[in-house]
Amino acid sequence: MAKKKPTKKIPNPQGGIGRGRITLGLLVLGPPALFFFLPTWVFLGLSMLPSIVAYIVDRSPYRYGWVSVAGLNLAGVAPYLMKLWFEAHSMNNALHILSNPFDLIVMYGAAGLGWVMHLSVPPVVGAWLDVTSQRRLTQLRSIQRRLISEWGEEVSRQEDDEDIAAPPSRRR
Amino acid sequence: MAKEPEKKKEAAAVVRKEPVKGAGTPILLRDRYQVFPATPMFDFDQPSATAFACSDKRDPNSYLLAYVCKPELPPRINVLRSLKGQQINGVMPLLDWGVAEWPLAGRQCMIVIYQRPLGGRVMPSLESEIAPLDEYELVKKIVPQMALALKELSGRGISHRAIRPTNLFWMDDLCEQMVLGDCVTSPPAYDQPVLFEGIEAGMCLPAARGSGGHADDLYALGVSMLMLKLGRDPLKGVEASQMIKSKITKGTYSLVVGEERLPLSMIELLRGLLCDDPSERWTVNDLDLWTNGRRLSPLQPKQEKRAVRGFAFLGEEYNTARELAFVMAENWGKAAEPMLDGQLEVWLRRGIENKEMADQVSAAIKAVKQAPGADQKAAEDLLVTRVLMLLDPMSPIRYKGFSALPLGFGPALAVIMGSKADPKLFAECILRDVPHIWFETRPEYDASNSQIDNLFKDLKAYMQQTAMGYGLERVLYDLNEALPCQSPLVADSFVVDIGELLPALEQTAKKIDPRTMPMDRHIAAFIACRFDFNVERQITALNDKSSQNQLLGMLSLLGTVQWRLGPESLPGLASWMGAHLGPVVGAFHSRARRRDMEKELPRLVRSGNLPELFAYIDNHEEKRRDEDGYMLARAEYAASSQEAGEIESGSERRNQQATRYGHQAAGVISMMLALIVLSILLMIRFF
Repeated sequence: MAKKKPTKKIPNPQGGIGRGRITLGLLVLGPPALFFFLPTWVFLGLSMLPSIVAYIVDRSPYRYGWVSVAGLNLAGVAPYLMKLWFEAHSMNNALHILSNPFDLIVMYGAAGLGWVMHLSVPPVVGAWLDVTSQRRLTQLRSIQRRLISEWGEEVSRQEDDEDIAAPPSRRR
Repeated sequence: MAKEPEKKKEAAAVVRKEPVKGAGTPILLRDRYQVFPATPMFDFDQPSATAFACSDKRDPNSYLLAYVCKPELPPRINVLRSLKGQQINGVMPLLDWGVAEWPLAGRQCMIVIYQRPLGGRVMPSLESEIAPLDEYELVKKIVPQMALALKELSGRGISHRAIRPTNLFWMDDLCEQMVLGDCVTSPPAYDQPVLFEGIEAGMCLPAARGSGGHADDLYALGVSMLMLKLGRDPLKGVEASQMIKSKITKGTYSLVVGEERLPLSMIELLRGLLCDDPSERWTVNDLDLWTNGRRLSPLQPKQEKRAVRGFAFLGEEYNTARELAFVMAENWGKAAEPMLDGQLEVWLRRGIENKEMADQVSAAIKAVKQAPGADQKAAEDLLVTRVLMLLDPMSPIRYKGFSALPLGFGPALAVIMGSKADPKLFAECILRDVPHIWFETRPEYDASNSQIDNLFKDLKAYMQQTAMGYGLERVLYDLNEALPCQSPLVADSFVVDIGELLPALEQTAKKIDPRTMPMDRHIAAFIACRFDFNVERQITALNDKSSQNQLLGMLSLLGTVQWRLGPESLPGLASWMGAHLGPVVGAFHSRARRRDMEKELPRLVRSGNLPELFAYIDNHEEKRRDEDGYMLARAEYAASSQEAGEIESGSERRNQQATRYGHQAAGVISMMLALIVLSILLMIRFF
């Protein structure tokens, strides 16, 4: 018996070094980015609050709820984010936008629409699946009827139904 | 001399001045002979055949006699064929034979046509007394006539086996020509009283005496001549068993002649003919020489060695081994005890002083004592059989109540089957190799015995197989080469030759309920035995577990016979067969193929060609295609059933799927909208 060679761990050339670089990059670039884009972070943090809440409260197995909420929330936030970025990227402007109830209604309403979508699409998909299943079932029944008409009822019997072994073919 | 015929006429039982003509509606045989059921001729009756008046359409002035055979007894077909149309001196001329619907029996019967003896029967019955024939007439006229008859029969290889005074007839109304009567309507020697049979044949069952030989005929002739000389039965009232015992102890000559005073010429003749040892008995040539004037010194009977002291069995003492063997055979159940306790062996050593026989008996007893307990009874029966054969090597094969000579097994089985008696003893005898024991115990080697012994081995092999084409029926046809097929389907047609089978079935097809199968155990065995072609495969198929294969085997078997022997067209039989082919057609799965077959079969049935019908039904290529298609269809059905089942039972899973897919879709749509809005806004800003 051939000796089993001891398995050798293949060193990942990028393993710890890669993660180290990212960590290093974040440590180096993070504080300046936080400082320079602080209005944007504050604005996004407050305007995307429904998405954050949704992320926290979504306990479904696949956690798709917060994605629906976040997508439409982002769509609602996008015009105001453009306004922040392209008119005055300042903390005052960010707070000004956030302090406008109409703007908040738009942003949070969009997030609400995300919840609505999350809740309303599955029944539609279910209905569609039912229709296609029934259609397939009809097709299958038709195939079975054709097989029975061509080969008789015995074609529908399963192997286990046959209690008598098939006779050996006659020697000729 | 002028008074002599007159005297005989008075003595003869039936002497008709004007022979009886038939009356009533006749039955026509072979479009020629008219047999009159309303005119029985009791004076000519045989124990196994009834006589009726008969006339020939071509010769209305002729006086004929028709014997209607008992349906349960097998006639001697081979002898019938040999004697038909032959003019043999001293033998009643057999003109023809055939099968006809006999109203008194309500079925078809074998009818044998003889020229009617105008002088009637020589002796009406064995109990009656007639005027004794004088020495001169017997020696100078009757015996030469009989000797000539036996010589001619011997030349044709036929033994009569029915010579007795009640079967001797005066052919002419002047009672000058004595002839031997019928010998074909029953198995050989079946109707012979024990008196007319030698010791060995006398011990057998009547049907199991076998065709015997000319020595048996000469013996019967000797007794018959003595009775004609005496005008009566010298042993009237003596029971058959007692008669055999007396023959063993005294010898036939001493027994039957007793104190009668006979002329010297008769003594010489009777001593020669009634010699109990067949090898020393006169032959036909000896008799011929004697009738031509050559005188021989009378044979002296040989006495079997007598014991110095008798062997006590059932309260009587027996002094010869042969006598003891006969009595033991008669009392089978009590015979084993004195054998097993060693009394017999001691008697053989000290009484008979036959050391060799004693050793053989001792060896047989030892073998039984070593037999396993469960087989003890069977082993004891075989011991009795073997010991009796050792004690009396001349005896027939005896097993319990069955007693037969080797060549008598065939007729015995035919009678057992014909009369629907229990064949158990016969079957046991074959299965336990009893005939082999008989051959083993022969004192002298005989090459022909080996052949017959091998035949019995084959028969045992057939008996051990219970399937169609084997079993007792196969043995029956193997042992009786001229026995008609006993199947109820063709019993009326007396099918002896295999070539006659299909035409007979064709006739049966016209009147039988088509639900009856055109095959049974007798027909299968008859074909297997008589058809000179290997039909092993067809017989195997015939015994298949599947009914379709059985039907195919049946069709194939009958088709093979038709292919080899014709006739070309058998529409009746094909239609009969076709009525049973439903399961074979049903064996095809494809409904379309079935419909095609149902359309095609009537055409093939009308053509009456069974091989063609078989080839169409048993098309292997079609079968394979059908089977392959069926397997695919089943797989397809199973897959569709599974899928449908999953659909029907999967609403919960589908709901879960719908939820999952719905949430995924909602997420994707939401993200897409976000990207679209972002993209549009960015484009507005930049462009």
